Amino acid sequence: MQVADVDRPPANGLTRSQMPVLVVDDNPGFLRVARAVLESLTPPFLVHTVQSGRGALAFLRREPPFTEAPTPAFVVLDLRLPDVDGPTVLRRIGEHETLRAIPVLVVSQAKWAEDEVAVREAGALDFRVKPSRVDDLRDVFLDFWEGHVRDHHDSCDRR
Amino acid sequence: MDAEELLLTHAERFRHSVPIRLGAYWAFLGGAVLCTALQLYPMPIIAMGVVTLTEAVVLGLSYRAAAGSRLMAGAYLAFEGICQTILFWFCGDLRLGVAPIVYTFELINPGLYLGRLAHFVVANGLGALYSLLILLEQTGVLALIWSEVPVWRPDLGGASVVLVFASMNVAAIFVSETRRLLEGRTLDLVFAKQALQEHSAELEHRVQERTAALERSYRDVQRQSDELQAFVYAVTHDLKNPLSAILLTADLALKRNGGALPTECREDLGQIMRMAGHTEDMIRDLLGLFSITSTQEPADRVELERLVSDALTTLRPLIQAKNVRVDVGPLPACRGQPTKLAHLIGNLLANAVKYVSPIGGHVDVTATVEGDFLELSVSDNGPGIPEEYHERIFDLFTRVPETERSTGNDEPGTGVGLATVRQVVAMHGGSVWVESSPGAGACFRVRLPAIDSREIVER
Repeated sequence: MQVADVDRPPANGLTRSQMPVLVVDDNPGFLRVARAVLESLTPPFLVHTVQSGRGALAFLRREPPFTEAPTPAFVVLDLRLPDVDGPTVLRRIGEHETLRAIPVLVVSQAKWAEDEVAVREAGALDFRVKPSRVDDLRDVFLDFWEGHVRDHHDSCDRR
Repeated sequence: MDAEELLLTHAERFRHSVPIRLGAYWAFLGGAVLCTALQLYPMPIIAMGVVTLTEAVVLGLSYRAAAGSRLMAGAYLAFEGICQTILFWFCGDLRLGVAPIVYTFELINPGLYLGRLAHFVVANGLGALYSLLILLEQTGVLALIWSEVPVWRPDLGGASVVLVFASMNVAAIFVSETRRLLEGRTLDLVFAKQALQEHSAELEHRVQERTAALERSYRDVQRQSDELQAFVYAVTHDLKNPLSAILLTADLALKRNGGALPTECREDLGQIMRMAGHTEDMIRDLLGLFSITSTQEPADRVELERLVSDALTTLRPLIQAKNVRVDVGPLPACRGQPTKLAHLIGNLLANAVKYVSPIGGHVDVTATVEGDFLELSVSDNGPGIPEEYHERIFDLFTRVPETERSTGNDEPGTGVGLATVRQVVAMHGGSVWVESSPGAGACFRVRLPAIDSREIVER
């Protein structure tokens, strides 16, 4: 993979190769590209994907069929999901003791003001517009990793 | 002429005064008869009766003329004053008590409109008549009332019956007429009040209807707006999502394999990205068009010069890169929705700068005012637009392919800019058209409402 990597050396002994990530989106095309981008980074993330809000919550709560799921270092959440909408998923995560510590990046096709307010109130750490170019998408993920996850991530249940 | 005078016509005034006058004559005479009968003071009743009868007859004869003319009514008033003064001569010692009362009555019921000053004129005129009587007596022209007054014994027989009947009928005329007058006035007021109430109820009913209709149409507008919002939301997400995934996947393919791909394959992927990217731009601009045209904005005074300079500032990089000369003439103010007009100006200027040739490019912005409208012209010396496109160019997504090629733009337009211009112009009740021929540049003319002449005065 020719994707250039401009990441800094990891601190606190945390490296991405140990880091699972959950990407939630009902568009398999996007999931495929997101996985490719995240796995192309040096060192790569371990990417898990689900296509619905209920699936995301089951994964995070380790409910069937995700009983063996690891706790992700962060979650990428598309705002518009077929079953439960983004803000609701966020709120459910927020209600849970251990889950609410997981950083969430919300992505969407457009930044509507009403959405942004709802999303931030529900506890997301960032809200970005989904880019249509691979380089821009990689930048979005890296910005979030560096700004919200890597240095603030204190405890993580490693499996 | 003040308002009081307009309250009644002269004819009405005179007519109303007549029964009261007759009643007054009879009352005065009746008083004199009573006085004499009670032997309080003997008065020449027959003579007084004759004078009073004369007054009544003259009143009857001159009624028409006096009702028709203020002058005649005034003349009768004078005649009445003279007759009354004669009666005072008959009253002898009682005259000083009686005169002011009777004269005052004439002031109250003159039969024509008297202004403030006129009251004093009449009062003093009557006083003058009285003075004349005194003068004539003093100088011996008139004899003081004869001391020997033929005592009039009231008849207790048939004649008194006639008199009583006559008096009662006169009283009936007097009272009924007065009552009719007063009640008529009251009735007028009652009718007026009733009409007012009905009118007021009708008005209230209409207001309620209008309010209900307004609320209905407001709800309709809200619903339409909500439907539009939902539509735009759906387009944004459900249309852009797969499109975005197409672009990402093609991009990924190029990046993943890069040099390992055969040239045609790389070019094919590049084509996919160009076309999908263009579609993304079209969706973005379409959403922009929806957003611009659906925003509620109150109309305001808009300075076109400022809008033009703002647009040129945004276009400066391109203007400088293409070395375009832009001339802006003096522009009037316009009445319209500021944000929408800003987009209109921005689109026209962006087109002009974009489609002008990279060498010797020139853009001209001028305007003229014709009555209630102004005509803004944006012209360029670009390749021009063929005739068959002059109407269609304002349609959504319609572009002129030849122009794209000849100006060698990297990014062809989405065909939404002029559609936006047409929508905005329509919302202002104006019009837009293009004058152009291939090779001779293009001139876009926009007709918009000029600023109110009222506002020019206020400035």
